[in-house]
Amino acid sequence: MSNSKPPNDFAERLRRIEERRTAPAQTPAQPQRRNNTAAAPTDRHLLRNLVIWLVIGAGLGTGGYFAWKSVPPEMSASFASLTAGLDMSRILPVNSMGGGSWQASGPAGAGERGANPVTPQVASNLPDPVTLADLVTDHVLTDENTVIGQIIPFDRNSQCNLRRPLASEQVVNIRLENGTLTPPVRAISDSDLVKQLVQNVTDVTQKGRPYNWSAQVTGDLTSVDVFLTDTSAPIYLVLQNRGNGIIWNVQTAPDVTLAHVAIVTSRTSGLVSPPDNATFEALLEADFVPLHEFGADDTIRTCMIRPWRLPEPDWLAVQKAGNDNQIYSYTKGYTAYNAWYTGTLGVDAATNLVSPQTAAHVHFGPLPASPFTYRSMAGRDVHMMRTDHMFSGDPVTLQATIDALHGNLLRAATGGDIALLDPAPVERPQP
Amino acid sequence: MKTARILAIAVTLVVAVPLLVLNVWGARMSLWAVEQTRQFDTDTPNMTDPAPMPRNPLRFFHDRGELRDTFATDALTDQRSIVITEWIEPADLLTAGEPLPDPTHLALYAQARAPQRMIRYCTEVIAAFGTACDVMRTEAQFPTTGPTAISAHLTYIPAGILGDPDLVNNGEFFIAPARLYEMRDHEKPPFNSESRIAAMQKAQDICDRLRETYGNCIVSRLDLRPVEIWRTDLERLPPGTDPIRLDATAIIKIYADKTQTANDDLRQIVQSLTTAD
Repeated sequence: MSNSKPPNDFAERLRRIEERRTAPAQTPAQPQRRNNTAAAPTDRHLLRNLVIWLVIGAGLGTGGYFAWKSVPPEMSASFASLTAGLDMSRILPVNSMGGGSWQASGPAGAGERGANPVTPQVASNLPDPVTLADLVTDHVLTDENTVIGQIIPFDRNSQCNLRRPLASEQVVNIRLENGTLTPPVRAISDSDLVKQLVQNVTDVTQKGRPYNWSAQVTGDLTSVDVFLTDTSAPIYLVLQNRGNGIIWNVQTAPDVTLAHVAIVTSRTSGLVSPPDNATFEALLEADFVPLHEFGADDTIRTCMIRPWRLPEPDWLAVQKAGNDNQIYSYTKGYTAYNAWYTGTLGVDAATNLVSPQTAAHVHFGPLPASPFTYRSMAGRDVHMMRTDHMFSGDPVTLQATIDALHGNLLRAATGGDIALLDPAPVERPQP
Repeated sequence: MKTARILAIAVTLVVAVPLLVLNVWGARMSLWAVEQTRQFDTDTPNMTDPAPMPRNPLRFFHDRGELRDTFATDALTDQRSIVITEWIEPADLLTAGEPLPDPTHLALYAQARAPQRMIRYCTEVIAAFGTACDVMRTEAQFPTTGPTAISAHLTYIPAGILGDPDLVNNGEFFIAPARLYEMRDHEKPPFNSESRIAAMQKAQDICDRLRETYGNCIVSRLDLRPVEIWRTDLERLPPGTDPIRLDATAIIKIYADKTQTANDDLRQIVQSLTTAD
């Protein structure tokens, strides 16, 4: 096979070109209006444009990345808070919200892993929406300016067990990820403090960066109000969370008896002095369970106290996962946790359960005949699971305490002068 | 229209040429890797020196900075380093009379005090062959048993003449290791200041000899690390013998004409100079 052409073909083309070149000039063609809608082939330079846009995109992406990296941390935190205001859960249709009934009306919204009712909505066991006004009067929400009484440390359980509920008691079961109120209390362990300072120091000594004073362990906690209105039996309350530590403020309606409070948590948590002088105890996840890694909680085992929540069909994560296995850890983890829970407390971990993803207020029981008086955290003692540093105060005092904790230990570690992290070069003496 | 075409061609060249070069280099790397793998997969692997890895075509950009930093006489750069490791007990970190910290704080103390502790070795560097020295980075490691290991990368400005790399045509960097004390552990010198200074000077001597041939030479890295004599060896030595000995390896670097220099040749020369004493 050949792609050669007869020689006379080429000669013919030469002749035509010569004829066109020597022909008299013709009247110039009238300019035609470009028809942008025509399907005729146009000079679009798709490939060229694609290359140009790829280069521009890559340039912008690279520049944007380094620009973002150069933004000071406090400024990026401001951006984050701005974008937080655009929480998807607030613009989702009502029928896509997860959790119980309390979030099925109004702007409570669902998160990835269940409902996130916001004040004045209350996460409740009741089918109808419940608000603070249905339960309490004169509520004054806890915030960072609340002045509390004393912080009273207590030792968490050294054994992986809880007091067994009596036959006469009713187990009430609150399990969530995080609270949304901000208490004026911080809790910092020495190990977390040292870990952060080692990171900060090695950034200087190994990466040559200036010391980053803003990289701190802040010991943030959250707070949740728990309203109990069930008078049918003394209540054995189990408070569980996976997330930041929570200070639980349990409040009972008249004629409710609180017998005992058991806390199962992944971080140092606390309890505002409970009503009825109820006894209380706490299990810290890290004392018995290693940090979670994928597959770690697949098997049922003794003392699996990581308080997983069972995925519900209305969780966004479940809906997005579809038939995939993206929330595998939750399902398997819950099975393992439930085995421990059932064995320890004698009831299934889904019994009398209220389980939003986050909440400021949680309720269990019937609606009271009339609202009872809200009991603020203000002026009341807080029992905290013992850790190395626990303190309260206004935001300025809290930050000053955090600064001092970091600064004092860092100075002690360097031998007094932080400049010694980067000593001056040594030069040969001039003769 | 003409401008657009020129722009398109320019953009294409800017994007396509590096991609083309990198693809060719990638293919060569793949062939090299396959060849290396095949050698190790056979029952009788070829024990000769492996073929050198294909050179990165974009290395030119890297070499400019490396050349500047290697031969700079007015700046402390990461192209010249003395890596010193020492073993210490927690008390060694403290000043006289300072109480031992909480054991959970020891890791932080070691990391935080490593720079001020290790910069002391700069006096040895200056005594041996430097005009200025600084701690570039430090690390502290905590084995489950035994003492804490603290290491420092010290950077220095050489005191001697380095040579002029601008005189080199077709220049390329060549490096060769020099094990300064290739002997049994108990025959190595003790891990003390005198031995460390001697090791630095020995590395510098090798470099000075190489400079006579190649016109330039740098001790780009010198590792000084302690080794502990085996108990059985120690029992045969006089009582009171220091069980911690010095192991030293220098990396010698030259900038030479790549058409006339081979890495193997340089290695052999360095080897012969190292064992000449």
